Amino acid sequence: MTVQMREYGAVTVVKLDGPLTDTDADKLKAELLEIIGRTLGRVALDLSAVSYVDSKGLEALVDVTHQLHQSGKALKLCAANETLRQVLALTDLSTQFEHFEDANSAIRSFL
Amino acid sequence: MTSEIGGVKKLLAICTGFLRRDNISAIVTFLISMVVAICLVNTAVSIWRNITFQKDLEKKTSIHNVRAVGSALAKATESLLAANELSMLRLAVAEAGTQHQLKCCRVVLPDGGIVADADPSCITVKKLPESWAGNSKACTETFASNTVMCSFPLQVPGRGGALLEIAAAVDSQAWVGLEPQAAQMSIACLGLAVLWLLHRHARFRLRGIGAIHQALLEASDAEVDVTTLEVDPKLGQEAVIWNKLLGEKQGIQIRAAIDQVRESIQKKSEDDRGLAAACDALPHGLILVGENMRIHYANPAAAVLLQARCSELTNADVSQFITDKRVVEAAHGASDYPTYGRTIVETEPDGSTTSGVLRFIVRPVRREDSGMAMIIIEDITQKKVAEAARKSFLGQAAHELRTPLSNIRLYVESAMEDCKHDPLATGRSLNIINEESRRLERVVSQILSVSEIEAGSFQLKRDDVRLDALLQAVEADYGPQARDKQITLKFNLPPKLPILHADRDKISLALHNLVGNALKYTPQKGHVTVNIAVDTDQIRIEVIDTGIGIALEDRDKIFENFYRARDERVAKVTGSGLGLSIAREVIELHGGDITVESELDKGSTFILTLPITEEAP
Repeated sequence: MTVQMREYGAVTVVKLDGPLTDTDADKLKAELLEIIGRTLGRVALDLSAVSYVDSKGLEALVDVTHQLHQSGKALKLCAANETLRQVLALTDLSTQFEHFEDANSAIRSFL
Repeated sequence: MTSEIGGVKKLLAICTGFLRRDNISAIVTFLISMVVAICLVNTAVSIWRNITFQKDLEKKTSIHNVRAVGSALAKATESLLAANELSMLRLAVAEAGTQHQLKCCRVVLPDGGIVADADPSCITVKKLPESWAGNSKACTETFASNTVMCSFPLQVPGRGGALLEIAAAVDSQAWVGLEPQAAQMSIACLGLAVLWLLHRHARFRLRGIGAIHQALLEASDAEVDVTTLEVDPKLGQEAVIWNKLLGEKQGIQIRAAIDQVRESIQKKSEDDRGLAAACDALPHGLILVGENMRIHYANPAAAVLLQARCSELTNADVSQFITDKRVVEAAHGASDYPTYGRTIVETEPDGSTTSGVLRFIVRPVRREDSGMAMIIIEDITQKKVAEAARKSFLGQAAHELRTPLSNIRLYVESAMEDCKHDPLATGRSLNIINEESRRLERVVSQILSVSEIEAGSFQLKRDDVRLDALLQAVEADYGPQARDKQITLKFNLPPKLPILHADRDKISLALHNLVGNALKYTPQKGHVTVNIAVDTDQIRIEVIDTGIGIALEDRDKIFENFYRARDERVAKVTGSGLGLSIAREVIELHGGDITVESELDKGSTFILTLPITEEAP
């Protein structure tokens, strides 16, 4: 999995490319937490190119969103495909995140 | 008069007090005692009358008996004396004395000699004289100490008078037959005594009950303090039990009050917990500052925005974490002089929008005992960035619109002046006006596209798109321009291209922008190559030019609205700086991406990827 970060104004959109699995989860979590601390939580995660998320990847995402919950926020997920949405729904984790159709909508939510 | 009225009132008061409910029992006891006493007196009087009557009757009976005995004995004595039968007389007298239980029965001569006596030792005349002087006296009756004494005169023919004296004890059997009355009397006395004892005992016991009764009446009147209803425990067991019940009631009241207070505290605590939870969940930072400028409460969002921990913030001086003096002074002022005003301060902690622009809203919190200040912290970084971008966009848009408009106005004036004497110049002016009008049209179109993107109304109208036909149209459009600049424009297409499910116009717009930019920034005799490669799930389109290239610091910014690289060669080429921004937005809306690889003075490669999936996200 590759991670691509792009700044849209004050918002950092982190685009993942490839399946989010065990080997990448910890690294992604560390990067996201670093960005959250640096940008005061102005982060959106673009999942348009993520085909699959395993339990470790879900755990990383949940840890990050819990970190944001402490300050009354949630991790913003963009363009998650149907498979990911079903995984989040089946694991009852869907409500832990904010969902957006695309990155642009997520960026606008910071206005 | 006044003293009389006062006396009557006092008497009424005493009577009223006496007839109070708590004295009724005493009155009943008193009345019963009176009735019993009256009955007792009545019985005593009755007994006394019976005794008197009995005594009188006994006396009369004794007298009657003495008279009867005396009369009979007198006649017999006269006969026996007349016959001088002294022995018979003495025998008769002795018999009479014995049979009738006479205390004295004797025959006395006038000289005092006793001829016969019930007690033979008392006889003084042994032999009866032939005659003696003296006459008989009248019959007399005397009483002395329960003794009746009767004297019967005797007349002995031929001898003289004598006297028969009989004394008998009056029978003192007055109590005979009065045993029932005496028994009743005794029982009545005993009953009275028992009643008196009971009354004493009951009065002692009833004093406690009366006091309890009075306390109950007072308790029913209104809400009174339980302690005032207590009675003297010396009044008996009832008073002790009453006081115990009052104590239990007081305990129940105290427990109820404690429960109520505890419930109230618990409810308030729950409310506080709910309020604290709500404050903790706020996306904006919230800080409560006391009069001493110490932080009483800070929610987690405030800790994140101030880049500290909640535990560090609590009880810390606010100036340690909020360095902007305006905020601190506003908080201090709000604490000292509570008002409804508010102070808004926007600050950049380290002077860059990367770390964030924070808006501090300081408001006083009114409290009775102290003044506090509430600081709300809001992260407005993105708003600031968007506002700056909007201002820049408007400025750039105005500039981009003004330039062709100025040219159009200038050449219109020139054409109007040259139209009569210089048709060639007029034609040249009209040609420029035409070009500037098209440029204006393009700029307006691009601004509209950007506006749609900014407003979120940039909608895709997906349809089946034949990419080969689209690329051929692009090649046809830009072929003449390439030939004019002597640039080699080459499209390397695979034998077969898939049909995309995309917005034809938007994809076409993106390709036109990429190929148009490549031609614009590639000098004469250069090369522009478009390579298309098809993977399993995406199409990769590379637009390669041998142009001026893009500096490293400009590569990310060229996709921003109105941004143009700081290169003199770029400035010479007309352009709005919107093309790449729109192209990237279009491709991203299709789920694809545009990246750039470039080397200054050697050329650039724009790589466009698009997913093949029919239902793109």
